[in-house]
Amino acid sequence: MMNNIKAVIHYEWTGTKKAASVFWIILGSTVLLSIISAYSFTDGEVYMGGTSIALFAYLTITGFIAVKDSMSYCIQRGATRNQFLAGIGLSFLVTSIIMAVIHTILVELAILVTKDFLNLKTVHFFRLSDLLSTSPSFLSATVVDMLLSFFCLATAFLIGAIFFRFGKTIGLSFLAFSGLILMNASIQTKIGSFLFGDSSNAILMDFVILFFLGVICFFITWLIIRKTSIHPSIQ
Amino acid sequence: MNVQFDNVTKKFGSQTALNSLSFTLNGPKIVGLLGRNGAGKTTALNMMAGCIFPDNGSIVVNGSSPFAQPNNVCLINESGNFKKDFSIKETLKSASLFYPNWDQKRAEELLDLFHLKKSKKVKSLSKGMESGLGITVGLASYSPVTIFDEPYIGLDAAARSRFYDLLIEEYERQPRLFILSTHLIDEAAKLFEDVFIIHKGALLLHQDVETLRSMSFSITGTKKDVTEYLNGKAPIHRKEFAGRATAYVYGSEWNRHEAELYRLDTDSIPIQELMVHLTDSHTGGKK
Repeated sequence: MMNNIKAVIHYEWTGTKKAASVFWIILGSTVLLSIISAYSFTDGEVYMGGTSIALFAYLTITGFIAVKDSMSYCIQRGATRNQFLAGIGLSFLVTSIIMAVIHTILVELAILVTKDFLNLKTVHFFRLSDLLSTSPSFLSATVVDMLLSFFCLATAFLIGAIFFRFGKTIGLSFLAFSGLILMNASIQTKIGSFLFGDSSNAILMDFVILFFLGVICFFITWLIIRKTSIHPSIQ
Repeated sequence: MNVQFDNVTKKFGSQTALNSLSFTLNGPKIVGLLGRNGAGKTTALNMMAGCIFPDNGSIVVNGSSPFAQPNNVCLINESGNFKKDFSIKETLKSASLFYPNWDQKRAEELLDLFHLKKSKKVKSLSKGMESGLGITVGLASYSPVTIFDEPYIGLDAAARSRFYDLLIEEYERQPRLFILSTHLIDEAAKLFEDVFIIHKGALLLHQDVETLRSMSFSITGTKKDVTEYLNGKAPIHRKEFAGRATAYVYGSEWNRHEAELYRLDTDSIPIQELMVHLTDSHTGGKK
């Protein structure tokens, strides 16, 4: 039982390690280039919020492809569906923590370079933890990124499972339906109050709720894939 | 080590892949799973490995459901067995964690035999090299049930011959249930102890090779003598040329010695030809 979970984590981690390395090299280079260009050419204010967006987009893609990419392999090699889910769940959790830590280090380094070394007061970095306070601590920035990273991985994993199990038509219909729900005025009001809540504690609690929404998505995924055949070519 | 299918049915949309398939395989032995394209072989093999759920019926591998505890089985498909971005070293490491009986030393010996370098990425391998990697993982897994589904795409004749020798060597070293599905039946026939033929999702034949050989033979003679011997009974195949006729017969009702009394020449039928004629569309897969 534990051996197979360990094997799933190893497989997932070996694959993620390479893709994540490439991602951080590209993102780090982009931040560096942005700082150089801001230092050399820009006189006005520069706001950089792209690192968080890039991180969550990357994790969303990772979560989406995990079903097709990893599940087929792990089950063919001998893991049960439950073992695969336990392994991938732990892997998502560890990935969320590591990616959040690296992201915080990257942003902190960028702030250090721009503010302290280059004395660039016109460059501002924005990340989600800024919703909690104007200068979030390393821990709070990491925790917020971690909570949202797990949410992105888990929801994308659920969407990936829907596509894998039911096909493109139902998958796209599900996305369209979700889009319609998000466009609903009352939902948008709730998202607004979520992002711009009254207190930092309330906002942090909202991120915790998002994390648990991710956990719920994960359990829904379990319901979907526990009876899913893994030979998509003949499914 | 055994595999048991009990009334297993599987449909993909309107197409029936397996139709109340029932059989029991008891190991250790080397079994050939044969059938035409689309017969349902790959579906059945994937079910043994816990990959595809049946619509109806039950599957038991070594006393448990392959969907609850599939570690007993190693399945090597004809392609797509490994992550393309992984190196061979990473692939072996990953496999070693999944298979409890994994033998790393043997895996490395097999890599040398197939001239595979551990640093190479799977995506850079030729089809034959990828098949070599599949064979390496399958044999080094030492799984009680090891399945090869067309494992040698792209392998040349020499490498295939090496694979057959390796299979026998591994079987002698540690007997287990090997299931081999292949279209190169004549090449692999010498390995089989049992033969299964699946046709249109159902079991057409399951026999040990010795019995199969004794129950099937060809008779050749003048058209008159052959017709007289057949006595209205239908052979599985008949051909005529220049006044002589050859008929392939299969079943317990045919007797080779009796045929020779009719001044007919008799000979064994290669398993490949037997499979072809038993599953012939003209006879609807029936004798």
